Amino acid sequence: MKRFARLAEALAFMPSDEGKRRLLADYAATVPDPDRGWGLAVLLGVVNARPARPAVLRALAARRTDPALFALSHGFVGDLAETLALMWPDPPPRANSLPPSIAEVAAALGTVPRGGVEELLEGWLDTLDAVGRYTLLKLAGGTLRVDVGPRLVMEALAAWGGVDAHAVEECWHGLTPPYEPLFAWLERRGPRPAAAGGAVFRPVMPALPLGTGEPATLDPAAWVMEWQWDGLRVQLVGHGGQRAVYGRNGEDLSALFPEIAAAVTFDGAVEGELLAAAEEGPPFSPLPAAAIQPRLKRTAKVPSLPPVFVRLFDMLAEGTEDLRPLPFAARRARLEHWFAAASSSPRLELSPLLPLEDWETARRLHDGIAGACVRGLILKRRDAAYDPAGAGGAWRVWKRRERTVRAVLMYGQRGSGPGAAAFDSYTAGVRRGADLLPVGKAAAALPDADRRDLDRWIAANTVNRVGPVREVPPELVVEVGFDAAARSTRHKCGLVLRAPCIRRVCWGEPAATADTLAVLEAMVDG
Amino acid sequence: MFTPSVTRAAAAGRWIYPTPAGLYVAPGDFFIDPVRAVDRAVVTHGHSDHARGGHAHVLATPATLAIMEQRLGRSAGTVRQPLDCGDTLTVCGVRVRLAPAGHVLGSAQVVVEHAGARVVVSGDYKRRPDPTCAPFEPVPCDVFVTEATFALPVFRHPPEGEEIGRLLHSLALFPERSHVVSVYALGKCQRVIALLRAAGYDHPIYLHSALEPLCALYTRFGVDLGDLRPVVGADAAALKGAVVMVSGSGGGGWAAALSDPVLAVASGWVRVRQWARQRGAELPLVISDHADWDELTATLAELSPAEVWITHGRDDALSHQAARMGIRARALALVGRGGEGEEGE
Repeated sequence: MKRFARLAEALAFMPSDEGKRRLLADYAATVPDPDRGWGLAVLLGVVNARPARPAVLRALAARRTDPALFALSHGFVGDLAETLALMWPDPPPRANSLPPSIAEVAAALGTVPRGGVEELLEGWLDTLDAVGRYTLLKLAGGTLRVDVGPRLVMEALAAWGGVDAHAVEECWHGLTPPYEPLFAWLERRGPRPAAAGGAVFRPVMPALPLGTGEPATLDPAAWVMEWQWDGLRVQLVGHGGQRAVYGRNGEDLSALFPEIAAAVTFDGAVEGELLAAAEEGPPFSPLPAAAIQPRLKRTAKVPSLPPVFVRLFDMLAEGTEDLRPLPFAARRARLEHWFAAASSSPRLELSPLLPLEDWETARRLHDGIAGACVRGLILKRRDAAYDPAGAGGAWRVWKRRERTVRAVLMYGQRGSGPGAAAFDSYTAGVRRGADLLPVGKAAAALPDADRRDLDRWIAANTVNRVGPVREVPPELVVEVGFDAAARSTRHKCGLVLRAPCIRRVCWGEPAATADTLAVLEAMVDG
Repeated sequence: MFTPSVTRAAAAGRWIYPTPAGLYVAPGDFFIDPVRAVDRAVVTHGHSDHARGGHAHVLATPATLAIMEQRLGRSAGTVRQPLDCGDTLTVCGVRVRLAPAGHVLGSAQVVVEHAGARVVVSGDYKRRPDPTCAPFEPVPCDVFVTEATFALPVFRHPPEGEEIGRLLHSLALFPERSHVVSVYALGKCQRVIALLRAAGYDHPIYLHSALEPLCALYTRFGVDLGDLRPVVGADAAALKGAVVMVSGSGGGGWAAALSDPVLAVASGWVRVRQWARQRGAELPLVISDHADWDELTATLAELSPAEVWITHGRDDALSHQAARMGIRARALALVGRGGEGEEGE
């Protein structure tokens, strides 16, 4: 556990992917089986454990710390698990009990009954140092974030073992933790594991943004157009009875969306957008992507989770035939043919193709986009193969037009990493009576000079600071641009904005002229 | 055998007390670490929030005076009087003695005795061994005046050997990357170098020009720091995989010669992740010249003074802890100390 904690810590602070690969390779090279395999599985979130609730951490704090000192410390640190990890007494230099191995932790967290977590954690905490305690508590709480995806791990292992990354990828999905045959092969101690012939993930094709004046330069006859749904891009793969739901980076989401996994009753791979629905269907009427969040974070109880369904838009394999080299038009035809003939699940739908005769009509369609579950339009070249490198720009995203609200600046937050002198997010609020209600953190989309002026103004007008956050007096009006607004119970203002950013600073305009919450509420879709 | 007395401690508050200029000893007519220019100042150590310029008379250890002369030049004090640790001086019926504080080279506690009461003004201090300065000497007293920079139980500095080990591990893992270590110019810089040397690291260590004079001063005072070289003008090939000490976060024209630098930040604050992230650290090293929570509370327990006065930092948490230990606590809230996130300087 100690070595795993060091790895998680180093990864969390490592800005570059190359650095992360080196850290992962060093871990694989220096940690024995089965710990290294379990360690990687834990990083990738493959190990399923019911997350310990914050109440468990609070109960542990109450057992072992002074309440006043805990409150002061929590106020300073900000994070509950981190505060507890730092305050917990260190083990004596020659402790009787050894810290648990990561394999032990992964196994125990997966099987411990709900009531036993507290006891289990308390025993382990007494054997670990601060970094180990932090990692354990985050892991137990299901919030260990290291920003490492399967692809990065595979590349790291491939580089370490001196093999091709695709070769690792081919067998990866056929293996389960702790991946001992894979390590044996990479260390030249064993044969290459069978290509997972199983339900493997295929790297996804990205879509590049479309420039504003660009449509006019493209030939409408060469392109097709679809809605870009506001959901989660997924790949559904079936092979010889194995079935899997993958996210766009190859993360296995099957356990989070069992009803979708159950819908994979075919051999092959199709791609689509996973959407949440207001009620069980069919027909399903989609909700904005925010509605999927509770399922991803496993925060809500099962009965209250929204139903989900998938709108399919591509087919990458049918049976054992790889369709990716085919042009899009041919793949689409195969998808439609297969869907009509073989798809039996009500949770799978086809995403419709939209008519594209000339750009004038297309633009009208684009201008008229309403409803929070559409992010924009997506253009695909008819003759393009499925290319994960996406260098040719054969798929293009035409984002819906942005909306704006005039809000009052409340906080600036300093960034991390190189250039941390600048603020990297800003919080602005709208008025409701005498109150200001924050509408979420926004990035700055300002010319450099304007941004410098804004940062200088924040630095000169700070009235309070909490960690990296600076509070300013509610005097400066800024224009916040966003894609869409949706209802949310997680935010004080009752709304959540998608992709908010600061578009303009309205110097000299009095704060009283900023928009009210009612203005923003009128922009909520559907 | 000295026995702390509640009565004497209460009486001490009438002749030594905080003023806007700093802590004032009335019968001796001098200030300890004043933040404004005064006639007579006793200075505990050379960090700029304790050693201000412009005083007429300054009393400090020889090393602290040398540091002040180097940093402040002509304004280091018109008359500078050295007093070695252990020696005693009597000023208008006030006995003054300096005792090592273990914070940085030359750092001292000021032991003040008047009317039978003994007050120890510890300045900044730490309790763990430091190869670059004399260890803290516990002096029993009626009133112990302490800092509280890291007075929250979340601050427990790990053994410094472990932190240096992580730096060495990173050097081994990324042998082509320059390792830039952000440190305070006085104390932290020399301590990190000395710790690296003690761990067997004998390659040249590169210094930003702002750090050179103080390292030279440490060497003059007998602290061996090994092979030190200026980073400005150093060969790009030599800087691959080298340790480069900078004060602050680095940057500037010379930084172009570094190869894909790893930024290590050596500070007690980086124990809290948000702080480490804010400094842009890739490698946070929890190394501090201040007492951590355990050292602060252990010092209170060891001295068990009748009263503890807290100059700056988290006086709320330390007062609460002192009360739990049965020691009367008082927050002096001296201005001009520390500042948010500033440690030492």
